[in-house]
Amino acid sequence: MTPPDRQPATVPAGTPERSVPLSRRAFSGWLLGSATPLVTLATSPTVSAAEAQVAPRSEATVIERQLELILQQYPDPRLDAAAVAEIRDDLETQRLRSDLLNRFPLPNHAEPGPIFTAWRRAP
Amino acid sequence: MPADFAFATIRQLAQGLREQRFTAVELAEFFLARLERLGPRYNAVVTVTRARALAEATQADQEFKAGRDRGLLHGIPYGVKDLLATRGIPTTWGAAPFRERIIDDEATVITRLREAGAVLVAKLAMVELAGGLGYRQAHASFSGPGLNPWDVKSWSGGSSSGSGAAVAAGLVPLAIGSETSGSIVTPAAYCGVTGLRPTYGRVSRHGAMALTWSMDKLGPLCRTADDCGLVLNAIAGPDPLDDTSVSRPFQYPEPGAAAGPFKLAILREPTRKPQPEIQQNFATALQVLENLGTIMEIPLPDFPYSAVVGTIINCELTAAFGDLLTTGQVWEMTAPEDRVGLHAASVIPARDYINACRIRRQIQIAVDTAFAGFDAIVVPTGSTVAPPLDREFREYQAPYRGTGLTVAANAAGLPGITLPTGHGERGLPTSLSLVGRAFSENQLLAVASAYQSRTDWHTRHPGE
Repeated sequence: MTPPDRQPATVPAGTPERSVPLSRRAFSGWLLGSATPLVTLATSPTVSAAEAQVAPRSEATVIERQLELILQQYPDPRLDAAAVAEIRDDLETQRLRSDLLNRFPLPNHAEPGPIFTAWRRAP
Repeated sequence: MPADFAFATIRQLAQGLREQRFTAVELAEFFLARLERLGPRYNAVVTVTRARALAEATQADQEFKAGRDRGLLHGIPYGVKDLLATRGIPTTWGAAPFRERIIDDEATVITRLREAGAVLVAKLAMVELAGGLGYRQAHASFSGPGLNPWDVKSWSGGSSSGSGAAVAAGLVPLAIGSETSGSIVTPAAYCGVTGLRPTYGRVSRHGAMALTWSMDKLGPLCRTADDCGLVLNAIAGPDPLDDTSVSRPFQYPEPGAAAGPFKLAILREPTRKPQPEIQQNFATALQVLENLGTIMEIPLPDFPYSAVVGTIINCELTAAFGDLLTTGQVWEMTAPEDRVGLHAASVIPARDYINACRIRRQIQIAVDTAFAGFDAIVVPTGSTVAPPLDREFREYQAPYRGTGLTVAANAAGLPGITLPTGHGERGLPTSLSLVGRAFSENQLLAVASAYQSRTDWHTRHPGE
């Protein structure tokens, strides 16, 4: 494929690796938009989805949570500051894409099709 | 053999074989020598398949002597992007972790070309993992950056970089490339050759590296539109090994095909435009096309094409290559940005992927409706000529903007063909693309052949 568009990278200070295991529940809570730090979620299973939804959220917070999740799932000493900046950059691009996709008006019945096939209207 | 044979069309080579001016073995030796001598100059070749080529060429000569003629591809050498499986020969996907790997399978496309009598002479270089990891510059393959035969300080395009360069430099008469979103048309445009992206499902993907199952397509890069039609005729058709291959018949040349007049359309121009030379050459090309029929101006339906394509590609490639993350092999990639290209994609919500697929269906319907009634939509292929090797693509391309049709067409699975239109900055080729409705390859080939019968850009080639 030809190169995808990406936002310019801004190199932050080094992001520390985290090694706290992530539970499915914590992941679900995080996806619901909790502002509670991921590490806390991972070690405090009492955080409910409702509480998480009440908490304030921001784009930056969501991206930082995603970044922490990635660093927990794929820890590697080669993930230096520059590499982390690249990933953060990609996450920002994904957030922009996500917003575009989820703002697009789709009727409830709009389906993706079970298997994608090329299509043209019958004559 | 005369050096000009390096740039002959399939029909010219086929005629030479039948007039016994040379044998299939001599033809194979001619291109094998060029691949071995010039391939390294452009970083275009991963493996020269000398032994297999000579065996297939010998068989072709024996069949000719016995009176068996398999058609115009019989005895014609070709190369393939190194993401197609070949038994007994490494299939590297352009990526260092796989440089020694041999897949015990044969891609359907290669099987079909062998059945047509064609002779495999090389496996050609490509961007690692077909560019899915987000490369931003030319140094993104273990075989080195693809170098443009028109200017070796410029990129040959990607991800079918070797296929574009090898055809342009006369190392092979034809090559097979793949396109998920631009990987045939971009190197064809940058290298000044003719590239055909078939409709999704027209050509079996069996044995090809999966980057994005629901978007990957295989197609030819050749000297002319006619050559592309001949190759597509050999490789198209249903395949029980690929559920997405379609049963719709394809025959080239199309019996009773109209040679015009054609109904063409251009897209309303964006505010930022391509490089001036690309605009100028496109305007000149439109003057040629105006003599072939009518040209109307239409809008491209408004959709978040890049978000849809980017999300679908990232999700499917993360599924296909997630093990590179868990094994750490991703750190063996050549481009630094590719080593972290999978990480972010691994946390895309399922909702985004499914919504992208839902929107894609709306795109198909809207674009098909917009394109109905036209034989082809005509646009400049890209916003710039090939970037210099030492510049990041986005930095070089930032002042310019294309129509976005390549992304839209790939989102909808539509065919397209890219044709040279002249030369621009640094003497590099410029091009236009013709895009049509699903399964309209023959209409596109007819328009393209008519254009090439009135121009000679496709006959020009770089010096050695």
